[in-house]
Parts: sequence; C-alpha cells; structure tokens
Amino acid sequence: MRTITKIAKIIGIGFVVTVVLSPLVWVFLTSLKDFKSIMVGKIFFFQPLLDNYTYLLAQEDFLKMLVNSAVVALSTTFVAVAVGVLAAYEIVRYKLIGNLNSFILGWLLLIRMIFPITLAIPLYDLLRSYNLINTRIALVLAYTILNVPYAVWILQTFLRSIPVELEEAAKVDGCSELGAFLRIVLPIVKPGLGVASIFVFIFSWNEFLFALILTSTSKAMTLPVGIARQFQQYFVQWGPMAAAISIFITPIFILALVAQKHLLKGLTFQMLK
Amino acid sequence: MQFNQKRWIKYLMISPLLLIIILLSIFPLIHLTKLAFSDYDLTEGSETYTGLANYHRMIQDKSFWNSLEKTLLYVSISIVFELVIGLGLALLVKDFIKLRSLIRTFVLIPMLMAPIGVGMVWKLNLKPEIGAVNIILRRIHLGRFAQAWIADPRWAMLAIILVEIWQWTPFVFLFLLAGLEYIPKELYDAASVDGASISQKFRHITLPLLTPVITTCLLLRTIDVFKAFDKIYILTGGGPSNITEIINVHLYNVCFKFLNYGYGAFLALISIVFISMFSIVYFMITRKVAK
Repeated sequence: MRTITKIAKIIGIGFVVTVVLSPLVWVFLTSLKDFKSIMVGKIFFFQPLLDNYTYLLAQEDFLKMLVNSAVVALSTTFVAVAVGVLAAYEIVRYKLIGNLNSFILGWLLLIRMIFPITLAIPLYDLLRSYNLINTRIALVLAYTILNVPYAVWILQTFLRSIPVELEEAAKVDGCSELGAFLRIVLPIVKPGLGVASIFVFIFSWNEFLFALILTSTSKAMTLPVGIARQFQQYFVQWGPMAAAISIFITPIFILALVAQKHLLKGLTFQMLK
Repeated sequence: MQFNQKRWIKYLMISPLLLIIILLSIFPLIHLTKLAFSDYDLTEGSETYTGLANYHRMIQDKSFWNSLEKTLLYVSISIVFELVIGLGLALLVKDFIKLRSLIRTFVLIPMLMAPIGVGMVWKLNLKPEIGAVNIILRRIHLGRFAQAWIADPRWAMLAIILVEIWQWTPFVFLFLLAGLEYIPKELYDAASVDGASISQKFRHITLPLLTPVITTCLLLRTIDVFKAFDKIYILTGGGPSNITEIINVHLYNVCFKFLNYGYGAFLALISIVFISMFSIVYFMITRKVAK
C-alpha cells in the first residue's frame, strides 16, 4: 500500500515537472528546426540546425535590442540598489522630521500596489515634454521608480538584522557616520545587496509595458518589445522567432539554476512582507 | 560636532530616494490628476479642462464595465485554481525531502520568466497549425479537440487563464509548502495515535493552521493578478471582440490605441483611488487583528 502511494506521488510529480517544462522545451526545439520541419509539425525527429541563431545574430536590430536590454537592466540594478541601500539604512537607523520615514515606506508600498500603467500614462506625457521618449535614460528612470520600492523593503529587512553595537564600536574608535556605513555596514549587508540586485535585474530584464510605451525604434527598444512586434507581422518567421524567445529567457534560466538559494530567500521575504 | 554630522548625513542618505519619489511618482500622479479632468489631445498636446465630463463618460461606457467584468472573472478563476492545485501539490511533495529542492528549481522557472516571455512561449504553443498543443492532440488521436484557442471567442478566456495558472501555481505551491513546514510534526503523530484518518488530519490540523498562510498568499496573488497586462497583451490583445479585455489592457487601448488620453487618465485615477482605499481598509483590519 505504501509503495503504491509512493509511486502515485512520483508519477504526480513527474507529470507536474513535464507540464512545467514541456512548453519551454517545445520552443527551444522549434528554434532548432528549419521552416519545413516546423510547418510539417515534426516533434523530435528532425535535423537540428543552428541556422535560426546565426540568422538572428546577423540582424543588426536584434543585436541593438539585446544590448539595450542589458544596458537598461544593469543600469537600473545599479541605481535602484545604490539608492535603495542608502535609503534603507537611513530608515533603519535614524529618525526624520514629522514621521517622514513611515510616509516614505507607505508611499513605496502604494507604488507597488497600483497598476503600472497608471504610472505609465502620466510618465509618457512628462518624458515626452522633456524629449526623452525613445531613449534608454527614460527606461532607466521608469524602471528605477518601479524597482526602488522592492529594493528598499528587502534591504531594510537585511539591515535590521545587523546589531547597532558594531557601528557604535567603530564610531568610538574614531570612525565617522559615513565611514561606519561604508566600512562596517556595507560589507556585512553584501548578501542582501546580492538578492536585491538579482531581483531588480530580473524585473528590469523582463519588463514589457513601459518599454512598449516609451520606445519606438531599435535605438532604445528592448528585446521583449522587439520580439512582440514580430508577432504582429503578417508573415511570421517562426524559427528565428523561437530562437529570439530562447535567447531572451536564457539569462533567467541561468539565474534560476545558479542563484536558487538567493532567489528563494528573496521570495520568502516577499511572503513574510 | 558629532550631533551635527549625524543631522545632515541622514538627509543626505535619503535625498536620492526622495528625489526619485518626487520626480517619478508624486509629480506624475499630480499630472495624472490634471489630465483626468481634461480632454487631452496627444498629437497636438492641447489640454482643455472639461470638469466631470470624463466621469459621465465612464458611467455610460459599456466597454469599461465589460473590462471590469472580465477582470473579475479572470482574477477569481485564476486564483481559485492556483490555490487548489498549489495546495494539492504542496501536500503531495511535503514528505519527499530529497526531491523537494529539485522540484523547487524546476517550478521556479515559470515564475521567474518574464510574463511577456511566458505569453510568447504560449502564443507559439497555442498556434492552431504549428503549436504544440494541437499537434500533440492530433498525435494522440484527439484531433477533434484541437482548437484555435486564443482566436476562438469560446476558448480565449480559458486559454489566458490556463497560462496564468501555469505561470503562478508554482508560487502558491512554494508559499504553501513553506507554510506546511512550520506545522509541528508532533500534532500529526498525536492525531495518528488517536486514530485520526487522513481527511480528519487535513480538516482539523492542516487547514486551520494553514489558514493565515493561505490568506496572505491569496492577498499577494490578488494584487498581482489584477496587475496582469503583458501576457494578455501578447496573447490576445484583449480580443477576440473584447472577450479578454481586462482592465489594464483596456486602459492601454483607451490611451495608446484610441488616443483618448484624458479619459484614460481618469480611469487610471479611479483605479488608484480604489487600490488606496482597499489597502487602507486592509491595514486597519490587520492591525486590529494583530492587537
């Protein structure tokens, strides 16, 4: 009886893993097929080719968008985490006039709750009046406000676990306020910076709505918008399309495998929020 | 001296964030409020104050009420299924200590993927001729169940809900699994000694102790599913004939497709007001419960 339930459970788990992975495997397989194999509907028995990838990487626009995605995501990560750790430290350690700290925390929560498009509507108009539409800077600005709430909240929980005595001891030894932060706190909070960076990077790399609204050509357009536009063409080249999707989701795969522990930490934080 | 330094340094530390908050959220939201009571021509940039005209328009706007209805349908069905499947899986995997970390890695993948990436993957998989779903259905001689899916008014809503479930059930699963790990094993042992059946243990131990975790999980998912845009934009764009036009897709279409910028801003403002009220009420209730 016990072995039967065990086998049933293993079959159930196997089924779940299959359901999760097979749509992704299918897209990857499609990216290795030529046009004919795709149209005939071959599943496994086809001649795997890298033609779609070489075709794609020869496209200037595709490369530009790949670079845009990377530049925007990395810049946002840097800005949001740097601003976030300074602010989170201030919130944890000091008091400001008139409960300003609680107002900031509450406001950040509200930003995270509202529909992103409600922020995109006025931002589009404002950025347009400063001639920033279709620039990477516009995207970095938008992504910073979208991600800074998360960065502040998660870094705050990491910073709270650091005992004040460490900094006080440093100050007794002649360290300045800023020196204590830079030399004592920052090295200790490194894991927190790691978790925050990974998540901000993923959110920015994955972001679609603002990129759709704020960019129009490959000058600033990111990969998801570029690929999405291809879907609207009358004649879709499925092979290169599947290859582009595969390239787009690969960094996330690698992160999921490499940084699994960090990711779970970040997610459990989200659960306890 | 020491005291003075402490004084300016804290303002120095918070100032970048304050600047970002003011320039990129407070200022835009004020601008949104201004737009909401005007008729704004995006191409010319001309703005005329129209008072409550946008409000009257909303009351009579059938497509807006349709989008609300579709949103509620989408959110409620998705969440119920995510919860039921996620809980089932968590109970299933609970005792497999060795397999657990492996399963965690696999189920992390969909939830970390871009919603837009998920949408693209499924757009390919649901294509009538070359998509995996129909090809596999035909291979196993169930070809008569092959559909146009996202292009078919009868199936489109179900299809986008299935994609939502595919992506986010793993989150519910991980969340509830973490909750289950906190329930002391001794409770189950004691119940076994008293001769409790599996269903009795579930009803009298697991469910009551898991309720707070389930509530939090539901809340997080509700907030998130209401925000859905990317997947549906790429899969159906709100179609066929507005059947999947949830609120965010509607807002996008009003503002950026039909260029009714002022009216779109008004709808956006209404949604913000509702969300703020909801969170205030929520925090007041949780505070009372905590006390």
